[in-house]
Amino acid sequence: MGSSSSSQSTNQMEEDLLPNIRPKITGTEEDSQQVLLPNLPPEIIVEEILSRLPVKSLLRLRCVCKSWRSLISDPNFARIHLRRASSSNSSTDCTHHRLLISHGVRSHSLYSAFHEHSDAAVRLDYPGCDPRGLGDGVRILGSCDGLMCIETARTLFLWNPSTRKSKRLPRVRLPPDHLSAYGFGYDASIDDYKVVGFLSNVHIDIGFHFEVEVYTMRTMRTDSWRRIGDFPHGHHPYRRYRHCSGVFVNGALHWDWSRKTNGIIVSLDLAKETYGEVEANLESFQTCMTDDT
Amino acid sequence: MASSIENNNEKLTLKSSDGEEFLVEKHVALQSTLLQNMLDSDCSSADVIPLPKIDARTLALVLGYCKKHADASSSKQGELNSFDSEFLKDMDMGALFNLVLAANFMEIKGLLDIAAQKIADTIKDKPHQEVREIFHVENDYTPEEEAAVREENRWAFEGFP
Repeated sequence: MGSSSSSQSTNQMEEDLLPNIRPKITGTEEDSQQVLLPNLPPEIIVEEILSRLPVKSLLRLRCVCKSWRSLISDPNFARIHLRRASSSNSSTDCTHHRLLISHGVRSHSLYSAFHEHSDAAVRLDYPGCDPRGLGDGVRILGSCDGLMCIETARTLFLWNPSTRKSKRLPRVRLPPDHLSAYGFGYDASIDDYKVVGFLSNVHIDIGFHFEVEVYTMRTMRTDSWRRIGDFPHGHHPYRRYRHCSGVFVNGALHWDWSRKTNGIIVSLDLAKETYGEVEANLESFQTCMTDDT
Repeated sequence: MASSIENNNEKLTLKSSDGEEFLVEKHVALQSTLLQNMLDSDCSSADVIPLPKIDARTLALVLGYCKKHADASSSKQGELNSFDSEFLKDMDMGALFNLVLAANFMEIKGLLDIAAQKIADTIKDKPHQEVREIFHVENDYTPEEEAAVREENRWAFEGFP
């Protein structure tokens, strides 16, 4: 019978076998001194190792070979990567999370904090950013799965701060600063992201009335907004409600309409595109903008 | 569950690819879903279980991990976490690769997670040329093509060769 204690055999084995297995850390391709590492099957490399890397590293590793490039750009890989990032539960590991900070509702600078163990907040170049710090600044309309929806220079953008890729959205029927409420979330039924915008009309009797338009990120055949059912609640014309950003929870966007409706949160199911109401428990209703890369 | 408590003192024998035999307590072996399934089915614990893909050095490490995790109570998560990081601390890439292969084969999820994460942490700041060598990947780009792909995300290469 062999080793009865595993710790004993560890020591014994290390003396025998350690020198044989050494990774090659430096040198060029022509270097013949290298001792080969075991081959890992591609599915392990992808699912277990690449899926744990930060986006910036992955963007570099697209240069490894053609199949890695297409694999890293593949939506399925993005899904595995996202699942891994959002399930990383260690409280000390902020590699896959970042906090975006802006000053006030509209500001000229966006800062990213906590990301990749950075101990300083890093200023981000957002799409449409005016390098001179002029112009209207930027307004965050929502965030979901690491994607941001922002408005800057009267244009809406979908933006992934980790890949630095962005997409300019087509114009809404009214200028974007007439969008009185908005939201951004994920529709699992079609595996796609949706931007929701409220367009306000003034009615003499009831104050503001809201028409609602939806932009679907990927599956839209025509790159345009689509009108859905009007928002079931109006608003008093003289009460403050501007810049009301929906909070995405459980497949639905939620707006705090409590000041108008005696403690009601109004929801919009992004798959069914139907409205609902939730009893307001305002203490637990907090807007947070953590962002998974 | 009841049977595993009754048979707490039972042992089984695992055999590495290079012929070394390891006598393992059953509750330690149960950290591996593969072994658990074998024991749950018809496999008798009197048999020697061959693990033809895992060498003795790796198997010893795997069993060290399993023993620690089987013996620790669930309330000692902090202690297990520090054991895990100490366990992997000075491990070279070859040992990590073998651990990943073994943990994947024996279905020990916790070990697979920490070993794969350690590899990821090690390569995340390495230039892509070096990662290519680590994973034995053949470069099928022409120099022009590679430069073009690099140009698509030039910012990610700042400070890299």
